Amino acid sequence: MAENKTKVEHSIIAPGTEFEGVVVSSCGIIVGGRITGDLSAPSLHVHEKGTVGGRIKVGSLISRGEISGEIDADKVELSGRVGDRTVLRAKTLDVKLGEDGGPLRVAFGDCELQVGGAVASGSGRAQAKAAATPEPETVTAR
Amino acid sequence: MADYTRAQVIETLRKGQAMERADLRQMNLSKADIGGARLRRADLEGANLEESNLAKANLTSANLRDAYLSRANLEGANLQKADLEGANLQGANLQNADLSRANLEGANLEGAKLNGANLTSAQLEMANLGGAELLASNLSSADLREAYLGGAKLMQANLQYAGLEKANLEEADLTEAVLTEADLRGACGRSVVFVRAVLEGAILDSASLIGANLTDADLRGSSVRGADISGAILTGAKLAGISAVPEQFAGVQVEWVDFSTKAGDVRVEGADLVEYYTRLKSGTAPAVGVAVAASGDQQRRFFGRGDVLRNASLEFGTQSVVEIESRFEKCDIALGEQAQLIVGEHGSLENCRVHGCGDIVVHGRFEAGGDGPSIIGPRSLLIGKKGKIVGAVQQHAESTRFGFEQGCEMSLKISRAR
Repeated sequence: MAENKTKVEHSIIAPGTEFEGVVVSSCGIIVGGRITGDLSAPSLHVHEKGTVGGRIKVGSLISRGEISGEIDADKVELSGRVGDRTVLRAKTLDVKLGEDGGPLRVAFGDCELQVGGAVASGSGRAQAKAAATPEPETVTAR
Repeated sequence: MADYTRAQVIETLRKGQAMERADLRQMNLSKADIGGARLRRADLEGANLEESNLAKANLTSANLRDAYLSRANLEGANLQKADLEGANLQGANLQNADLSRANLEGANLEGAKLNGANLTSAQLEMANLGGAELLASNLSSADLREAYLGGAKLMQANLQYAGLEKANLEEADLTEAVLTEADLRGACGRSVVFVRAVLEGAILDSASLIGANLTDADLRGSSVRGADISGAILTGAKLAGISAVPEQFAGVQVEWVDFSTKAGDVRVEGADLVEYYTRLKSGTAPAVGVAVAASGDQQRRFFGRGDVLRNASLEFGTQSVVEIESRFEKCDIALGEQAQLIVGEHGSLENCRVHGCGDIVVHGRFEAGGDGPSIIGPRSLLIGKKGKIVGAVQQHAESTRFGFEQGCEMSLKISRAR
């Protein structure tokens, strides 16, 4: 059945799962658990309880959880938390302001944001694609 | 091919003997009474199990691809990680069955009973669940992309984190269902019932929700960009933090909505919804509590195009509103409590320092050189889609609320309050 469907593959790091090491993927990654290390993929979706820390190179990043480290992406949608000593480089960044008196949509630690065509050129998808192709997936599970 | 006869299989299973990993492909076991059968990892590909009794059977990791299970009784069966791709489960009884991580891609579950079933992380892409009963079922993190759920009954179902991209939910009943952070992009939800459903953080972009019933639904932090919500009922819906275009609310049926935040109750009458949301988006109605206070006593300052201010020290009082369309150079700007500083599209602040517990909106340019923070202690900082900011922000003691619209440019260092 369903031979004509266009299948979109995702790797899922479910809540309660932790990875430490290098993750290189040619498909999208959905994180509900924790990844620490280097991550390269076309897309990354961090769920509310997910945590990703390290060197992240992705085409698109949607984060509702916690991210930290050195992050390169083309397109970023942020809520959740951004950890200390984080550098985020992106071509576009989308952060909802959130309601006055309501909970913070994004809690920023001490970090640096570089956003815009000029600052993010050559980053994100191109680097992710380059990184994603030749190397095998190297993952250390804990 | 199978090595057993139908009679042998039924007899073995009725005795309670396990047939784990048995090759039962294409076998005709229709109407067989084999409740509690032990068929873990059995190969039942293409088998005919129509109207069979498999209640409480152990079918963990079994291969049931293209199996015919129409009207079979699988109540309480263990189907964890079973492969049911393309299986026919029309009218089957799967109540309280465990289908977690099962593969049901393209399966036909039309009219099936799945009340109380566990479908956590199940693959249901392009499955047919038309008219199925899924009351209080657990579909969290399930993949339901392009699935057909027309007329399905999903009351009190758990669809947290579920992927429902391009799924068809026409006339489905999701009363009190939980869809926190579910992905419903491009879904067809014409006349779907979301009464008292929790859609907090859900993505409904480009979905068709014509005539949907969202009475008392919780849509806080959700996104409905590009969605068609004409004719939808929104009375009593919680909309704080929703991402939409004000005009989208023009065609909805609504008596009142709830924009409440922790700061207090905010009830907006239906007739005022479009105007209220327009002001909210533009930053001129941060919240009703603030907007009401500001409307009477606020002081307004406007600096028009062509003006240049250099080396000035400016102080703006509590709740004042300052709009800048001119050029400020090396100015020191103090903002009182809840004051608003709006840098318009033509406005430019160069090497200026802004401090105080105000709300800052940048649609133009804010560029600061040198060391140290150029913006200190703002309550909120919103950079519009055409805004550009270079500098450093030291956050408010209770953290600054940030908003960055897609298209803005920045080189921004953010630090916590000292």
